[in-house]
Amino acid sequence: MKLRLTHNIALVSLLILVSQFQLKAQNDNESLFFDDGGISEASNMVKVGIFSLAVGDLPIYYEGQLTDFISIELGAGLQLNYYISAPYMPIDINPPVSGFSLWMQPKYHFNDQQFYGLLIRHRHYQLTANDVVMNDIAVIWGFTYDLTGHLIIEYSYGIGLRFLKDHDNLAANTFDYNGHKVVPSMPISFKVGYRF
Amino acid sequence: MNKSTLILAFFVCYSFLSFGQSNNDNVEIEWGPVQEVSKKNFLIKVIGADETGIYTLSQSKRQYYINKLNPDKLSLTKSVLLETETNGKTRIVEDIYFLQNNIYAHTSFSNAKTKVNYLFAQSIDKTTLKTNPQLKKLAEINFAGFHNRNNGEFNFVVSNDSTKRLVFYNLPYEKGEKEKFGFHVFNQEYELIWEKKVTLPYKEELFEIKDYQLDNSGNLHLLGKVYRGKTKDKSKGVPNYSYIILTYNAESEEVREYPILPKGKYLTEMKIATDKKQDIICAGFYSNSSAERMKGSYFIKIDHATGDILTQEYKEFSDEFLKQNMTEKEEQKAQKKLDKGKDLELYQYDLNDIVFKEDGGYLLIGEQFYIHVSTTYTANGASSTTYYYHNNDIIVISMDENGIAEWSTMIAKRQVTTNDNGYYNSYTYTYSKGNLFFIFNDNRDNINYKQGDYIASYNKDKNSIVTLAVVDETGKYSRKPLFSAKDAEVRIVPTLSKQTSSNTMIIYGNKKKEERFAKITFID
Repeated sequence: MKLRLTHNIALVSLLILVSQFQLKAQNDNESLFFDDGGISEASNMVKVGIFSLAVGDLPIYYEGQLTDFISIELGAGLQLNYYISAPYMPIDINPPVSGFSLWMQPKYHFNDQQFYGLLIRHRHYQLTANDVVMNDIAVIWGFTYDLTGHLIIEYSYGIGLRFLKDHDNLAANTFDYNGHKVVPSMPISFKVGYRF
Repeated sequence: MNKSTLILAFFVCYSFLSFGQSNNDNVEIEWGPVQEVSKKNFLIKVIGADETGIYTLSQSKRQYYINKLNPDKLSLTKSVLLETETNGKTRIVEDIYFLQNNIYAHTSFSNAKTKVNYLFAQSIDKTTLKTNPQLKKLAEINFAGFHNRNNGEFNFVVSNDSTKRLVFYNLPYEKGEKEKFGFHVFNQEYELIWEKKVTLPYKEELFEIKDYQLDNSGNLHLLGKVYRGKTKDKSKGVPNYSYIILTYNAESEEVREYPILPKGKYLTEMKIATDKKQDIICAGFYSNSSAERMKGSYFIKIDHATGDILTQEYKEFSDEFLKQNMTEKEEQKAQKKLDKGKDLELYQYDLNDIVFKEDGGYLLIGEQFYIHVSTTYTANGASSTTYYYHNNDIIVISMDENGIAEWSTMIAKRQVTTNDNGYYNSYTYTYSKGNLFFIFNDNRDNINYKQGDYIASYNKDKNSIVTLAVVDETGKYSRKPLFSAKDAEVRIVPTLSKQTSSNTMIIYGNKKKEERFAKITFID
């Protein structure tokens, strides 16, 4: 009788063990389906501008997703010792010694790939004789393209206004506002990003 | 008080003699209570119903809820969030199905790392409304080498006898590549019977899958539209496309192809079905002049065993049918056209269903549907765009078992709403004991509508009514108001109604933050 009880206990234990293995196998399968290296949960991104170096800018950007539709992009960078002006509004500020830039862009993602943004950018150029400050405000349309895995590419363009302080080398048809020269601004950017 | 108001008042008094229940000759209506819902919560579908309850799916923001209504009182008894998370990852809700009295959720997860899009099924407990946490993988689409968004799309159909289930999916492609798709056939327990991946000899942009059917033996029949050279309906004055039926057999690797050769005619709308003998039925409309117009009906029947074409019939609509709902003035205009030797044709009709009649014949049901876009400009240059959704007359064409047209009838209906995707437009119907019962929102001025009268347009007016149109087995049709929107306290959404048995239907209505269900029983 005791032997039979021991036998039954052993059998039940074996069954439990086997079922646990089966359950684990099932879970392992599910893990395989859902293991995407965290891509689907990624709500942060770091980005660099692809062509910024060409115009004398070296910024790095961070974008954080606040809700399903809203995100904010923050950026900061150094100004290099050269500056290439936009062709539509030549501004001669060469040669800058150094400087810095700050960038903020709240974004509304109206679908999975496209967004509208409001860009606020501040750039401070230290020249040998004086400093030049440029503040931009622009509305932006942008497109994000998933390359593969965590990598993305983003391009955007917009239209807005640029406010310049302490700079006289501008065309006569600019107008003044509160001590600033005001010119049109058409920011274009290409960025490569890593989602995490 | 005009005549129609008096009639409506009489009708309302008559139909609401007892609270929550009304009778109208052919139908009995049982109303549930008006229930408050969040404005952000909207009904996606009535999933199904049995003696335990009526089950619905609703959405609020990005979350889905399974709801249960008391089958007698039609009041909400339970609402449970549909769990879509596994290992911290959220699956996409593809659809919820009521299959042989069980509820199943189909969800998918597209893995961006492995580049595989998975489709899962899981059962939902009808008492707790909780999903079974065990996921059954049904199919997967490998989209390696393609963009994350080009990850395919899953579709699902069930055989007529509900014993087989089909998951059908288009495979990712690059422009200029051949059309590719895959499918899996399951039994009622979601056990795989067979599967296949197919590459057709047609470029993806020159082939359009129009319809597909799973027969009771698990064979797939697919109806495709093949363009010649360019994706254009007309080229050098002749049709630039043809239709083809492809049959994939579960028992063998054999693929059968049945090209449909319309002899210079434009086959406009087409649908495919399988009858009780499992023979393949393909029916639709044709035109002599364009792909948007209709001159008559078309029918083809293929023997499922031999592949022989059993019947192929064209039947031109009679002038009487085409002029059926015209006013006197419209009829005079049409007659002038005929006198000049020009064709009368219907235009922009969708073929919505092929119904199998009890006598072995078929009914084709179609509706005129089009969207009209209007942009206006103000003096200061601002523009405003309005989308007009037109859902007009319903047509019914009856055929005998050999596809010979018996009769055609046209139910006068005009619905025009703006910027709402036609949410309250169109119709719902039930086929019961040889009769077709159509229910739709209507303008109250049509209460006394008689053939040849001007039909007033439904436009979501507060005083609108809901009309019942009954087409009998000889093609005669009658119409009567069922109830008014004012008395129902909601506007019904015909496309969200669901036939739940051979003679009952659940209808849904809403208004701002309120919703209401009703059960309609069709009496012989």
